Amino acid sequence: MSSEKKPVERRQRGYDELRDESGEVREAWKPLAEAVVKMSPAEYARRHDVAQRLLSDNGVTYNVYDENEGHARRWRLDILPFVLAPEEWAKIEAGVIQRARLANALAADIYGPQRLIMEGYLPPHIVYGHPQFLRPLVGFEPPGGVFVHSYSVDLARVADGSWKVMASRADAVSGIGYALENRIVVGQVFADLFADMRVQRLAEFFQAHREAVQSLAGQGRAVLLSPGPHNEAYFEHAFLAHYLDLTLVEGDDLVVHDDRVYLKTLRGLDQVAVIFRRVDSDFCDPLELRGDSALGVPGLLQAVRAKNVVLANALGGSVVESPALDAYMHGAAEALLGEELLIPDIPTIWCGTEWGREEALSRLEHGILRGAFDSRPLFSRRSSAKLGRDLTPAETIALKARLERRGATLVTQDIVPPGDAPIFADGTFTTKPVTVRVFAAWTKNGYQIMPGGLARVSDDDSIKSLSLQSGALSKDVWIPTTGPVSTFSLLRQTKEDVAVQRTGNSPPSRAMDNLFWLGRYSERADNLGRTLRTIVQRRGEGGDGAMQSFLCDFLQAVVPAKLPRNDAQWLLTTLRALIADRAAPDSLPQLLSRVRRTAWSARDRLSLETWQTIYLMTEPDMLPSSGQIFGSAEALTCLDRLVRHSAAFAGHCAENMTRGPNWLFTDLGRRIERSLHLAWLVGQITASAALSESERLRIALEISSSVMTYRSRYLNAYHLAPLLDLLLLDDSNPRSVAFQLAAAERSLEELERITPKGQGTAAVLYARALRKTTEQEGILAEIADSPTALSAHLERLSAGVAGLSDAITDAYFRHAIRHRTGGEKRED
Amino acid sequence: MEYFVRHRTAYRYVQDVSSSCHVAHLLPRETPHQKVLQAELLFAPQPALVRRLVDYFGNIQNLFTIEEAHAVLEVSSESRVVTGPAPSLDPALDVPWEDVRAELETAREDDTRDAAQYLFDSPLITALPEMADYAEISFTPGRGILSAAADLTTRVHRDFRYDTTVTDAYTPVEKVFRIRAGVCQDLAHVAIAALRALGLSARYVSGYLLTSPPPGQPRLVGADASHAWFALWAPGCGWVDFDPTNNMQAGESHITAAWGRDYSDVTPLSGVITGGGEHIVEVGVDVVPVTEESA
Repeated sequence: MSSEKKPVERRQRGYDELRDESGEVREAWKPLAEAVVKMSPAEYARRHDVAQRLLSDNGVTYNVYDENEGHARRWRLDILPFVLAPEEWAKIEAGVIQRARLANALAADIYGPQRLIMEGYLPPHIVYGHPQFLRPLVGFEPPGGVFVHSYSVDLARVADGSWKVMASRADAVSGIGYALENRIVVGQVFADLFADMRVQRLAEFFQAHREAVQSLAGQGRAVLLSPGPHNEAYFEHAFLAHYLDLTLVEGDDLVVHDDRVYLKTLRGLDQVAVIFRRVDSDFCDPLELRGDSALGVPGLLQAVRAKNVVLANALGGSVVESPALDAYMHGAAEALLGEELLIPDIPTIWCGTEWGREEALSRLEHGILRGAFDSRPLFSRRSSAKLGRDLTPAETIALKARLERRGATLVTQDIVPPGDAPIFADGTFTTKPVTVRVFAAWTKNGYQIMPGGLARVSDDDSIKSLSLQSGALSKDVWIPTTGPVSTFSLLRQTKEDVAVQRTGNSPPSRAMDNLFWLGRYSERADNLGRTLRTIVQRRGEGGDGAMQSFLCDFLQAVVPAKLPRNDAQWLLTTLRALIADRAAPDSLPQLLSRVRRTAWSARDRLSLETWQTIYLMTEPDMLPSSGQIFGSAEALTCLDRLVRHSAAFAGHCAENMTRGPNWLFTDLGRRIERSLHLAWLVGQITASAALSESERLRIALEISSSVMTYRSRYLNAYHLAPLLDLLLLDDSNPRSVAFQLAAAERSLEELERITPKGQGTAAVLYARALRKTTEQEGILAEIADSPTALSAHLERLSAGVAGLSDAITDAYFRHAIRHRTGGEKRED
Repeated sequence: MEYFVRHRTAYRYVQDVSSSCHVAHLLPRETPHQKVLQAELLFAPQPALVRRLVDYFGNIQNLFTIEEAHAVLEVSSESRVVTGPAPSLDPALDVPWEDVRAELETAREDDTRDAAQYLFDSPLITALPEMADYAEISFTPGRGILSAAADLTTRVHRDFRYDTTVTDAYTPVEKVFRIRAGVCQDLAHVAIAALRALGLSARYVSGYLLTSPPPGQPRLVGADASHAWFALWAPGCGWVDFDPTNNMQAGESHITAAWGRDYSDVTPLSGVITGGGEHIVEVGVDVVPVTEESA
């Protein structure tokens, strides 16, 4: 809409959640409202800050990992909970459970007998025209007849106090993880109130659900299938996998043989019995569904039809989410359940009839027009929804033509102003429009509802800003109870005996690959940080032309310049770029963002503390931003801090990680990278002649953190042979190549022991042979005396270490790449 | 007319493929105008698993998995079919096309319910308003649906240049419509999109065509190729097949393999391979009339 056309219309005021008609605070809100009003503004602000810090420390994000920003968008939470009175909740509970049963019955009918269509309750177009009506699954009944294992609805309260369904999800349900995380944070921030108000807990709901779904399946592992770290809700996938004790996997981790699904693990193929699915149905099998999907598992549909795996939810549920179906829900409830619909949808009319078209035209000024099958949240980024009154004359003409030609592809819906939730700031309450997402899950006793949910308040008063994607604020939902509050937590031990064991489930190979690269990138960032720190320091000390010319040479070895340069200006610009330029290849910010991305991909394998150390180390605002002018002092502070955080991460790995596969691969990555760096460093230091040898050797010792060790042995006499011994051959120095190679060999021996016979043998033999090159008789004399011999040795070493990295990849992460074939050539 | 049809596809991979799985729509189906006397698929190497299904549209679909390493995959379909001539259409059935649209909107009978499948957008076909405008030149108010469809077929044949170099198997119809060129698949997609944009049901048919040899020359085996056209639903006639590439109603010389909403529903052979790297594909189709003597 052009700006001059109409003033922005204020939404009419909706139901006030906090106060009744007389302005009194409603009963259920009283304890909370009184408590926060009594609180000093500073105290409330403090709690708000604590909550934001908890969210950020826990890495709660939403939205795609943004390459340019370098970080994912933080999850937005307003700490003031959204309270729903118990009697109100009882109505919602009954209504949402009914909706979940209806969604399941609809899916069963649509993929089964299609009675609703045959008997005229439902126009066939609403099923057959839906792009997510998955034809290969027609006639298939999933185990137990359960199609919809988990279900959600977005509810809005209308002016008369009743609820309406704005949208529902029956395919890949999202938001539960965020609701749990909100609860963890808000429960801590308002711990006292939480206990006083006897708020119902969320966790019990899950255990029953997970057990029930598992009981539908045979023996085998339960996994959570995620689209991967680029998905906007990846945080939630990692969180839920951890919470429910599921292995977090991506499509590539799974393979189908003989109509069975297997997980590719470090120790071979492991059969999968249950897939908790967070990948949209049509992306799940590139063979029979969307061929362009890289997220799925080829052949999955055959395993599904053979009933060798249970998918939760079953495939194809989107078809019951469509706005077009909303127009027929009353009839469907009657026909399938024999019940009146308890919570109706927002008033919807399908435009595939003459009457529907007339209605759409007559409501044009005060309604919404929307694709009949577009179940994206209203007004989210790619939503097709349009306000009739926003249409230009040309758009109105086009719309009328579309109604005439293909009315069946449109619906018209009423604008429903949602109720207003309180926001507390500066000692007073203001209100913003709110919707509440409520979750139901299938258990052996039928559907259960999570006693809470995810409330979302819009930043402004427009009805267009309530979708998650548009960045609405979220709120925890509190249901106070008069009865006893369960204290059940999933983190508590189960009653059954647990056999003592020292190893976990065999981890997915891809996860190990990520950890290996996490080790490599984090060490690479550390090495670059140390190197730059030394250069900045020396440059700052001024000194003669010799130093500058050495530093220029040295920096050119870090970033090969097109033309060799030897001037102060070049040195400065290049240093600045390496420290602060997010766009410069191989700059520190780039490297750190790679560290974080890799860690993010392995998020479910890292403890919260480990993640936090990485988070600190890679925080983008730790380094000066590209445009900012900064001097040596600031640069040094930043680099110091980076090196310290990196040491914290390394220390964390050393002290707190079990010596299982996670640690083994992270450490292997670190050892390999450090060996490469040391070989490079020694080569650079010895190749340059710009500076006195003792000065150069001191620089090498500084960068490699070996100054103290060297001095304790040789005092202040700097000579080549002792340095080569300390940095290359001495296996007691944790900063020597020999130490790295011995450590790598030990890790590989351990991996060989815990993986199937023969799988890791070649890598062990390779590592052993490489380590032995540092023990050769007379090697020190040879390389210390002859620069040619030294450089040949370093070259062999670098090649050898690169080869070791390949050997590890060959043994443990050979993920064969999948390609799609077909339809390459057509003729006539 | 009786034919022997052989459709041979060979994939040659640069590196070994360690395993692969495929979906084939390579065996001809029965239709009201076509009998299938015999049809089989031959593979090399032999799959670990072959599953023959009838898909949602009633086509014969084969799913197969190869679990041994291989550098070449060959799949051949061999069949004998008998086709009948194109049905002659009763002029009384050439009813105003708007009536057909109304009937499809109600969709109360078995046949209209089924036809309603093909009113909507499908993976490769999004019907845009400009395609409706294009169709309306043929579909003038009150015009009979069959004559309008024949006219649309002629216009697509005339307006779209046959060119094998400008599109690939997954080119969306918007692009074809814009560049006004493509192969038989693209021309069929354009016609389908135009019909759906008006609210009519149209489906995609894949199959084979007997190409006539130049006079006096023997038929070149292998010169024949896989083909595609579209079918339109009309009351009383059911599905009527039109071939925009050859500007004709499909008849005795058209052998139907499979039909669906668009090419993606009936891709002759597609798959997902593990390993393999680059590959080249060779496709050969022979359509040989079975004469009294050779039968």
